[in-house]
Amino acid sequence: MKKTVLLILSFVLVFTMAACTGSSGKDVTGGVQIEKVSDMQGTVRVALAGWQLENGIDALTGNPTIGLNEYLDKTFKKMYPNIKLEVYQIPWENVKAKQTAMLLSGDADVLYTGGAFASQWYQEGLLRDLDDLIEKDTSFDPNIYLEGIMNNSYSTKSPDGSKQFGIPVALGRRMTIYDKKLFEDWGVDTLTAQPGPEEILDKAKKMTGKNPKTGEDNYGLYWSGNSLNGSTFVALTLAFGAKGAEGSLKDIKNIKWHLNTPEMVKVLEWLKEAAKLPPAGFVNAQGAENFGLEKNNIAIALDSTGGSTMSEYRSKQNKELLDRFEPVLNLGPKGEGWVAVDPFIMAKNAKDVDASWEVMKFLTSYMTQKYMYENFSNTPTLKNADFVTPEDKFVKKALEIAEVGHSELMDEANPFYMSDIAPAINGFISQAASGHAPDIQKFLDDLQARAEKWSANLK
Amino acid sequence: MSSTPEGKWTADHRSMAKRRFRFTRNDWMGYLFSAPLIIGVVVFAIYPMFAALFMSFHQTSGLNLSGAWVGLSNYRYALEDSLFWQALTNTFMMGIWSVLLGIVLSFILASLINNLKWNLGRNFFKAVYFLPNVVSGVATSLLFSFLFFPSKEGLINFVIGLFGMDPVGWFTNPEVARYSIVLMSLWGALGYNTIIFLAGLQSVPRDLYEAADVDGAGTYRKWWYITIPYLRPIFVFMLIMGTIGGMKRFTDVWLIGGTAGNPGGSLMTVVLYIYRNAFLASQMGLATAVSYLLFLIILILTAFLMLLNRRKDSLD
Repeated sequence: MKKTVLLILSFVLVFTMAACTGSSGKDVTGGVQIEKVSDMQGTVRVALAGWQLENGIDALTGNPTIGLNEYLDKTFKKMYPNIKLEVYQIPWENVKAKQTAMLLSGDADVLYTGGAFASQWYQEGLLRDLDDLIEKDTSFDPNIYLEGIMNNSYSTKSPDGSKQFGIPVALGRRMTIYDKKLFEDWGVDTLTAQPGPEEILDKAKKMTGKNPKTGEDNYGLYWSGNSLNGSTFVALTLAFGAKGAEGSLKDIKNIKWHLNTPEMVKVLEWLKEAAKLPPAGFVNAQGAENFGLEKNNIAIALDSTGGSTMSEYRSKQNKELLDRFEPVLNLGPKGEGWVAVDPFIMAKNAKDVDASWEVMKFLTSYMTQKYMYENFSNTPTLKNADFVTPEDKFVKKALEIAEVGHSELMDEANPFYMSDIAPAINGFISQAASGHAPDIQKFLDDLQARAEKWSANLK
Repeated sequence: MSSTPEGKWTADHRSMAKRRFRFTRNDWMGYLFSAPLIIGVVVFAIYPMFAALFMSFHQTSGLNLSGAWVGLSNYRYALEDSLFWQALTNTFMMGIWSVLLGIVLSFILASLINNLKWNLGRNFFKAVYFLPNVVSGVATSLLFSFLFFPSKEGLINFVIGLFGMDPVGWFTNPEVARYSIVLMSLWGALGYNTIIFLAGLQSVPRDLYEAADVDGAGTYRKWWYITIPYLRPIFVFMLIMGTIGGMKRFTDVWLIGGTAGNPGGSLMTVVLYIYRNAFLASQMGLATAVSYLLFLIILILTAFLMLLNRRKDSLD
């Protein structure tokens, strides 16, 4: 009896170990023969926010995914056999505090993080400029990255735009998506390729109420009413030409605020009208759970990702849904909106700068971005992301939007924007949604006075 | 000199005093064993408190925590900021309702459970009411955001719809949102409060009730004249702990209302105000100044509650 139990336990142990340690056997290089690049020696400590290190299964699609460890074994470790990588995975929850501690204590050389954090760390002198490394490295081509993201983002460039401190590797997807079926039901013309705020508001109003075909309650419009970074508000400021402020984040004390201009009044008038159209829960980011799916009842969603539709397609090959939901450009005059950029950055006191640069280059390369797209549906930052599948129209649209993207002072890198403006606008939206919108000019005058007082308190 | 009795006494006294200031091996061992705790308290409690106070008089930006000295400027900014007062009002409002309803309901619940004759049933109800207390604030907020879903698809709205009532914007109507938060926090805290009251109820001497029985007192009179006065220290404890907890409200309002304290700023609390300034605007100086203002408010409230209790004692 004892022998049998022992035998069974041994088998279980062997199979468990085999399952845990085995490689997926999948090709992660796209058929490219990996060869040694350099004999460079060194140790690089890499702190990654949210990356998956071990092989696993995508929770939404059920498809197997290859973790970073296997990818590095099959690629980087063969290309740079003498560079030792120490990889730390940090969950996104409270990542700023943890990575800040790593930067202060000198425990990380290369980091992947959120763009706003990177921008703040740069302003605090914790990050290294990359210009000298880029200049002397002929094998690195900065032109492979989207222009708007590489050169016009607070997440990769210094506040005055003169220094490069980050290399973009992943984008947030924010685009306008509409439901063709609801447009058909209501007999409304579909959105143009680059719809402005007026077109959206006009068509959304026509599709709010009882659906003439199904009799269900329909909502013409949706956006998140408590977005941390107020991305829809940012897109609207671009659309209406409301700059909100003038100056540089480098000299934050001397920013000149323009929050109560006629252009800003137009932004808020639009929000006041639009706030009547979404489902009530939008003020707490609820109500769009079915958008992109069969049971959807929202005609137009702003700053949407298309994630649920693509997941349905990937897991069930549901082409019908893919045809039903159509992405168009964002609200800005060129179709731009607020684009989240997650970069790789290098610590100011990186121990081995050359080895760290090689690691950074590799982790932002075409090959790595292809791997991240294929396994985790990350949106790449490349001009020529030819690995994006033909049916993934949402990523393609996000890339189009990113191409024309640019950072303004109404951005999460601006501390007053994050602490006061975005929350104040969210508050305005929720008041407007309940039919108690404050007087717009007075609201903006108060916000302007508050901003001026905030700046004065810094001096 | 020391040959006289007085001189001998003085010499003995001196040598004793000397011995008193000389560390013996036992003294060293004592300090050694308590060192981890002392170091922990100094490094993780006392130092941060003083560092925060120091920081509150400075203009900090980002990681530059030792910026220019600005005196009371941060305190002045906060006290002149209407948002701070709005946050304080919301915090008080939700705190008062949470504490009052929490204490009254949990005391009634504890009394009912305590009067159960069936021991197994008593344990069953104790467990049932305590269960929500082990659920994290994040999970509770998520759960209630679905229970209180504002349209007719929400569970609570579906139920009230059966009685012909219109859906309520539990977390979307500024008039209602604060009370919804109170209800949610009651669900989480009721079990803990009930267990504390139960422990108190079981410590009331039986002979007091027996004496009351002899005097012909009914259940209500015994509850009012024996149980409640006897549990006064527990009521005070609950009141103080509830007040402190209520003044520090953050997780639930942040998860539901975001950084704006939506809807319409009705869920904006003082700690959310501190969070916004500390972690979104990197204004640690302002954030620590408001933290100290909050500390003072809690201190005054606690002292006031304790004073009330002491006055009552003196009347007794």
